[in-house]
Amino acid sequence: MNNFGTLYKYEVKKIVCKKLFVVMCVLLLVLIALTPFSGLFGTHYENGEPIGSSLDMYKIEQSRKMALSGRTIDNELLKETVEAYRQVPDELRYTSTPEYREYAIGYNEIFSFIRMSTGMDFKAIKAWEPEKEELYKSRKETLNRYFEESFITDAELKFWKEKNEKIDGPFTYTYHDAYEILIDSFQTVSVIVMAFIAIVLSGLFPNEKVLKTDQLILSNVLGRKSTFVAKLLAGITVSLGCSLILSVLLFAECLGYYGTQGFEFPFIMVFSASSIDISVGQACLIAYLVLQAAVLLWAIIVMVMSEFLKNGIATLAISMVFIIAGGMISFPASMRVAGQIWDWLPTNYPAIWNMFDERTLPIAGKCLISWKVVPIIYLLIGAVLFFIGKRKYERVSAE
Amino acid sequence: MELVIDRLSKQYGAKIAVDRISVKLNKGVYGLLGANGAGKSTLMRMICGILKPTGGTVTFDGIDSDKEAFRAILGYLPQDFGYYPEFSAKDFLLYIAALKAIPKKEAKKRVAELLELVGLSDVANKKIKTFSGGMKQRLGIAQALLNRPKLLVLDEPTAGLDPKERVRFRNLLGSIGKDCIVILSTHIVSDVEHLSDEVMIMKDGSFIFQGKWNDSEMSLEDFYLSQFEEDEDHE
Repeated sequence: MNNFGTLYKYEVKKIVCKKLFVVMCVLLLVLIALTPFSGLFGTHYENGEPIGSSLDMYKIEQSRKMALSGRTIDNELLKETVEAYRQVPDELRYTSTPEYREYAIGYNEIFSFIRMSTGMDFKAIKAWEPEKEELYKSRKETLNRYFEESFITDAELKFWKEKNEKIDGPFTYTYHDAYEILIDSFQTVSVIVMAFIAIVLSGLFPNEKVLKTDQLILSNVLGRKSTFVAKLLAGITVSLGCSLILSVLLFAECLGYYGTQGFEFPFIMVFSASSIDISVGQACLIAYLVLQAAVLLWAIIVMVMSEFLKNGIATLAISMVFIIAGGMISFPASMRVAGQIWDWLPTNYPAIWNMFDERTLPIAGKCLISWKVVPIIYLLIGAVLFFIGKRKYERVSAE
Repeated sequence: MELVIDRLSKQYGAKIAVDRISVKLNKGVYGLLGANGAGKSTLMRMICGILKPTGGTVTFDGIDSDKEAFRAILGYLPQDFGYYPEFSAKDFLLYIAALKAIPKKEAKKRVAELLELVGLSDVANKKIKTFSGGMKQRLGIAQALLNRPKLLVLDEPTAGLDPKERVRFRNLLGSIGKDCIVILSTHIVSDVEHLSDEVMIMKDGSFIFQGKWNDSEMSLEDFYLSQFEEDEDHE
């Protein structure tokens, strides 16, 4: 008799019955519920004076963007953008001026696209005579220059340049705030989920020793083989469940409040250091799906590490160091291999700039785009760790 | 039905916890006496296959203690009985029944039977964290009996039981011991005298006595206490 279903059910129960789990869930839900609206809280200041709430300011910006939605970024729209910005004074904090609110606020994303594509500064753009061919050509050249300076291999350079060459303008501007906020919130959600997993799962195996239930488990028929698998599967279920619920909640909030428009908006207008020809909506789906793969591997790492260390606090400490260091340490581009391994760790990878950057996995002369290959690598590493952990658990002795 | 312990040893660094113990046990109740640190729990954990011995073997009808088939006939109550505070008594027993590979339907029936037997059926759905020490111990005894074990290893089973519960436990063990091998360790000599067919006394990792206590000149309790006095004299 296998009884795996019953063992799995009780292993899940062991995790979710704890007060820590309930408290963490409530905190996470509150954090995620507030994240997409963080920019709407507070007061908006112009020239140091409060003039209304950030929400009022956003409503103005949103209505102006919506008014421009569906227009092609051609000479006419470029001229309108430059004209609008000519009304804005040359100040460091020019977005806090009444002129910006009055004239330029709806054009900020097109302005940003011009700046990233041409490399011109604020003053230069104001003096620029808009020409769409020049803009789209400049976008390609700027990106190619960036690739050349990025310490990538010749094969990668060729790969990205070819992709870049295929992306021609003109693009169509579409209001796409929901997807922009989903992208902006992505790393926050990832860090929160990874920390949650570390806190909840670091004690899963060591707690049996703390509770002195390890002897009972090990002395029973299914105490070695089935229990390890049931525990690991329960941990994965809770982690993936939490990550999926939070992701769905975030999508529901963003799409519900900011609107579903803009799915087809080109991703390269949001993330200019890329020549991946996908839409911003597709980028969101890819990012949040890859997050699930990272969550899967991270959950396995935390649980297997806890089985090896036999200490929940030590496992939690090491896990948190990785999560915190991921946001603090970055290798210089010249240290290509070390930097790539570091950035592809499951705690670091779920960030837009890592997921969609120019570093690929070169195999047999082909350049494999990271978000297509990393989830597969995660699954393979997860499987290896699973067998290592299982072997260790089956040989454990209640010393 | 034969449990064979052959030159079983456990060493922690320079300290020998169990020193080459060899014994053959058949159906019946065996009382294991010994002072704290004598090696009783270490021996019992090795018998159950949860602690790797430094040397020697334990087999039940030829099956090694590290095999699943051995664990299938085993019932074990550890000295420090661990439980999940948030689980109810019923859930806890159902979980252990699942670990013992008892089919779900049979497990439910057996759990109800055992809860009744140990007097916990009224609190079956209460969380274990609300239980008294004696109730927890009774739950521990119940979980060890779930699979109708052929080898029952009980490490200090009467600890925390009040006199009434102790009498009930003695009666229970008396009937179980007719059909299987029961090894129980305790500090309480009277428990061993009342329950055991044979006595094994451990000191410094070895048996200093093993067999039926027939000495008419000295009671088991006096002999047991004399061992402590010897230790004190040496000190």
